[in-house]
Amino acid sequence: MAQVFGPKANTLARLSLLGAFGGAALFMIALVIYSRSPYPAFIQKSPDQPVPFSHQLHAGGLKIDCRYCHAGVEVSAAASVPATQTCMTCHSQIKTDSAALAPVRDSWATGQPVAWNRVHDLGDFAYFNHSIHVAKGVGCSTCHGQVDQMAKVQQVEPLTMGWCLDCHRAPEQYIRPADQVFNMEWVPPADQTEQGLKLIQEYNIQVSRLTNCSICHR
Amino acid sequence: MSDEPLNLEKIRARLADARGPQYWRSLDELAATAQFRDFLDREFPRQASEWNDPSPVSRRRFLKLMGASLALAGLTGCSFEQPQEQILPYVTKPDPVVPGLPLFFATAMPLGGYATGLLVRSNEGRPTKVEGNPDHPASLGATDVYAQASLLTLYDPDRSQRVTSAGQPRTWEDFLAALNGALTPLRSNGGAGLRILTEASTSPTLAAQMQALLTALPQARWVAYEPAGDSARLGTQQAFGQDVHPVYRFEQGPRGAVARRRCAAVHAGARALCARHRRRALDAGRREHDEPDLRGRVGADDHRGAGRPPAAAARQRRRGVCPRAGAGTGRRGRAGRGARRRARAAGWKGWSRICRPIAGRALLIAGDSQPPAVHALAHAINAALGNTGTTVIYTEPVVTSPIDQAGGLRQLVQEMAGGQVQALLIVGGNPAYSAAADVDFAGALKSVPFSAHLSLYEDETSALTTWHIPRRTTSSPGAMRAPTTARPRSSSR
Repeated sequence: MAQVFGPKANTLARLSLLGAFGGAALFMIALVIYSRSPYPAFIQKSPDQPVPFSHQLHAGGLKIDCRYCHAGVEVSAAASVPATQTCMTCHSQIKTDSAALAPVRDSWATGQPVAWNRVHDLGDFAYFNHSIHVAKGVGCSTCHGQVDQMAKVQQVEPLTMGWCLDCHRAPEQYIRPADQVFNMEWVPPADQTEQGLKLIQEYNIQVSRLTNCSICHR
Repeated sequence: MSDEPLNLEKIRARLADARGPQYWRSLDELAATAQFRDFLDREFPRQASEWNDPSPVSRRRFLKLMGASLALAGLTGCSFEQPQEQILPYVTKPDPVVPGLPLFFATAMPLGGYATGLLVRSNEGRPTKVEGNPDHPASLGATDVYAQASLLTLYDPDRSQRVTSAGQPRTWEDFLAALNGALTPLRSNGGAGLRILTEASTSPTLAAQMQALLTALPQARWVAYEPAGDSARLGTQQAFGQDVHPVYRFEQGPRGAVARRRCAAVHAGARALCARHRRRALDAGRREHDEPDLRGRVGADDHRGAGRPPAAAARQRRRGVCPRAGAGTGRRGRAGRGARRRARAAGWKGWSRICRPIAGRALLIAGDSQPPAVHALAHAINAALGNTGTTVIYTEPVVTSPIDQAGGLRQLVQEMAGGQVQALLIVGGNPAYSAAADVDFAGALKSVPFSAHLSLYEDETSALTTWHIPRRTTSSPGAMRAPTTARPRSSSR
């Protein structure tokens, strides 16, 4: 009777077994590497907004301070997007016929809020408080990038836990003097580490506590 | 269904051979044409479990496929990206609101007519937590279970949301029309037949409004019924012959505050209250005297001593042991008055040894659930110990609603049953449920042609009245007053 399996069948069997296990292992490793990389977290997220608000114009060109609109950033956990009333403080008189501003005018007239699409979105399992970061010398551009040069807000940092921990473990690399917090053009000086350590003393930052799980995972 | 004409001969022949009843759903079925069989096979596969078309699928394979589908269905949960969220800011942000920060509003809630000062935390306009108001002298920042639970009352989906009459939703205008219709004939005879039943109220506004109403309609009556009873008021009336309100100055007696209270809910948390007052007084720099504390710790509840009548208490006093009022079921009336007389007349052994050193710094409070006689006795003891003016002062009455003289509700029910009441307005409370067992309020309601009930819930009383109006808030109409807000009397009582 003819053999069903030829002499190469053994080799084939062994190779395919190794290949299967090896392939599975490689796949798992690839998956882990991919999920820990920045790509799946934010993929350069920049959703469209109902109103094409340009930070480049308002914050960059007109030099309106961040806090004029994001008023809660120094006192509250949420930086807060401005109310329609804030937009209307200028746009009741400037560009009153602009089609791009129609949703703002409609909101003002009808009392329905403008539905902005969130760009920087942490998971609901993580608690983030803006006011403490601003108070302790973390600048806006450190996490949000140079917003005053963005025509459309784009997320430039991954905002993953690992990325947050990079700073929480070594805040001296990232913090800046209080008067520079809202300065979008600030770059860390050459002696950032030394300056940073001084600032840690000055702001009374307890670095050992920054890696406590429950400061974010309440 | 079939294109060729049915062969009736064939059908007849088939039926001719049949024995017994033959059932068919259509002539096509009876004819059993090939076309029909085809259609039937496609429409109703006879052996679906074997799934003969196109390849044999066994049950095993079927289960494998379904199991795999179920397992892989979980993959839809895997997503690296979060769903797109939206931010909806205010259109006009109220000035004090900072999104993310809570606001605290000072308010008060009534319990038994008395007000409890509260601070309610509001997150973006949603009340989220009730705290006590530390500046309020009656509570000093404490709350009781009722204050904490009142937050849930705000969100309770069972609260009534519409005006109803006999179970049917109606409008506010309908109610006003019916109310007018019921009251107009009563205006001509001075309001005879109009009765207003409220809970105990400390509101001067309400009292003024009711006074105005009763002046305009002299035959109408205002009845106040508090299910927890009016023992305290009746007790002071018994003791002093007039309606006075005792104000207890816990801070005057830094260590000798004898508070034998039986968990009176109206005076929230006596234990904590005494402790707070004591702490406050101590913080103010008073020094404690080094004397034996005779009657236990501040604010201790009396769970013992059940069933000690006031007469026995008077005997104890004569033996030189100051009694603990708050005895469980004291005998009313005669024994109470007798004990009081005896107490005043008796000379006490050991008085100078035990009671005099603490005179003026002790305090005796009877629990709210005690009968009026025990309250009267407590006032007598306080007077005898010389506490009046220091640890307890008497002021004008804080409660402005009429005293429910045991007969208040009973008399009303009698009038209702007798057909003397044409219009009954019930403001708050649930008298059909909370009236005493021998007072048939529910039955008497049937004899009242027009009755309206204002309440938070559609409860037992609402089911029996002709109209039910939902109450919007738990606060009382007009103001409320707390037990310690009245001005002291000028006399030296």
